[in-house]
Amino acid sequence: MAKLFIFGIGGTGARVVKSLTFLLASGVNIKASEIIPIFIDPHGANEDLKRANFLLDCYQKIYDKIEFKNNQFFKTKITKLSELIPTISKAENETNDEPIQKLHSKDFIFTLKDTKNKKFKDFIGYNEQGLGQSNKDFINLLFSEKNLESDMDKGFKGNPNIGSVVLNQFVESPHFRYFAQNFEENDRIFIISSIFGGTGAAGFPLLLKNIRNAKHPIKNCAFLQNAKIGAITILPYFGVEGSDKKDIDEGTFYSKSRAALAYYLNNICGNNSLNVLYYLCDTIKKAYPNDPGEGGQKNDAHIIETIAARMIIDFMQFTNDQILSEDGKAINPIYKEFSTYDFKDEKPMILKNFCDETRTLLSKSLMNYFYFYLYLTFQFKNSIEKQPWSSRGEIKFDANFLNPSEMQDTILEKLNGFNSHYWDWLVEMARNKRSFQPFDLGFTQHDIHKVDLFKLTNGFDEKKFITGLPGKKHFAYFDHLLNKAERKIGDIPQSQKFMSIFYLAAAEFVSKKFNFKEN
Amino acid sequence: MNDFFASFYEIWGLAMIGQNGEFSNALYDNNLYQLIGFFIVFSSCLFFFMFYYWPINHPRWNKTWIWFVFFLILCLILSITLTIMINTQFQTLQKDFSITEYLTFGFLNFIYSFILSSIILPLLFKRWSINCCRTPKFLTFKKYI
Repeated sequence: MAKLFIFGIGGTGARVVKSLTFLLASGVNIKASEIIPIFIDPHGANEDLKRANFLLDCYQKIYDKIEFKNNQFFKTKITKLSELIPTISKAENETNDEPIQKLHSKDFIFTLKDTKNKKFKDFIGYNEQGLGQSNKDFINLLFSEKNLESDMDKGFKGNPNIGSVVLNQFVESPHFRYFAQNFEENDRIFIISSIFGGTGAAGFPLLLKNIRNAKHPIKNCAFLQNAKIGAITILPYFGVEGSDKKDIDEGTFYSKSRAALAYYLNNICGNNSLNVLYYLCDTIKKAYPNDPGEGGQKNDAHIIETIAARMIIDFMQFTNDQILSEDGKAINPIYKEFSTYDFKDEKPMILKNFCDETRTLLSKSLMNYFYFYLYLTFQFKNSIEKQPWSSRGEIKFDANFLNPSEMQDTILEKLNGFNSHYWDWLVEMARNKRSFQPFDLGFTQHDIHKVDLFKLTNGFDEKKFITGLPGKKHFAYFDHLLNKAERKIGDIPQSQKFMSIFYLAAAEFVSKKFNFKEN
Repeated sequence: MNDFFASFYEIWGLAMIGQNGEFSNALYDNNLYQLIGFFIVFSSCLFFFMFYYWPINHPRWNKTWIWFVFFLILCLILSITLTIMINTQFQTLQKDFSITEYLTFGFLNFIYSFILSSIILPLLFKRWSINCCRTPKFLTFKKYI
């Protein structure tokens, strides 16, 4: 299996990667040896970007602590670009025009240079001496007064004309060079962007052009030119409130989308730049608060983003022979859309509304992780040191595991951090429009022990069978399965034992208690 | 088998029930020790012990106090049932014994059934119960704690 480089451009890019992270944590299978997400967003204070970056960091730390013999949660490796080690030999490195330099970056974000506390006009040197009046007039034709006065560190506020200038620096950046150095023959690239904003609409064609046109001295330029590239372009799926007085105007979303699509027709589809292109849109939209950047831009998670993440998995299911490229062009490019069935517009979507392939891919994994989350959040503390799974054998889960003296970097601490965002993700998708409610989240901390857990997955029937006494259900049944799994796993290092027994118990809980055939 | 069970009940002749051991002798002479022994072994083993550690085998029932109450009640019921059975037998045989002798006999039944069903058998076999392998904790080999 090959590596997959994912470029998440703008806020939508970050949110799609966030959804992908939750799918991968749930154990959804993606055919990639490792995933390297790279966020391109000038708006460093973007809360969605920060959330995605934090989640990926948590994911990595959890991944590093476990092995995957009996566990499918968090099984896909996610790596920071800076953590990759180029495969070019030392001799080649020395003789090469441009020696490899280590990329110093602590996170997944590509940081733009010279944008901090700068206006766009300063970035392009509008006021510099030597720029004649005719040049200024030409700039004035391309950019409005508002464009020129825009703060660069708050994003492009839905202006792709600004983005296409500023994002040009990515190709010159150490990030791009390091990405090229680490790119191997069968590795793949996926680009996520929205078409109706500023950053995504501008960044996507720019990035694609630079990859397809990679030339010496960029390392592995031949691999890049003929790389297998997939992309998703997301059409308007949310609106903004009070557009008329703010920088971001929802009224322009469709006109900008049409203009961008017309550009893509000639410059992306027309010249076969992409191997696979996915289009995604929705007719029902929720208006978010109009935040051009000051408030941190924290949008609720949306089903569209989860479907976009599913498209990435779809892209990796193509064999190498199906998505060939030659001379910097894709041979037989593929264009795909996504559809669902059996639901009405205003009705919340559930897992059952997905078509067979997606439902099969997602349902079990999402349910496994959901019940794992419920147990860990609401029952774990009650069962620890009381159930055999926590205290049998040499490797135990006791009070020290629950409250370690050094809180840093324990698997439980990382899981708790990750899971608080997981819950937010479910809640946000449920309350958004279009609403996605795979699970009934209408329980409280106090009544969860009385709720019938098997009725919390919407659209799936419970299999009726005798599990012993009537009380051996819900969390007690989960405890029973944990006790059973613990016997199977035996004594292995603590973090691995923890994840293994929980995965086995959750998987059996779901597969034994839910009827997948009839749905 | 009558001799075998009699040895336990009479503690090898050290604890005979009744005046001059009349109650114990009556049990022995009428081969009742055999009946009592099998009754206790089978009910303790097959019913109490097996029932708690396998069919019930419940993750919410594996607390020490529940275990204690469960066996206490069942052993009491067993002891009372057995005492009534023996009383009926003796009435048929027209043998008359005092309430103290029946109480002593009932107490011995309780002790033996409790020791067998909740201590000896669990000590040997409870490790194979999925949810109750550590119940009660104080009767768990260190290796399995």
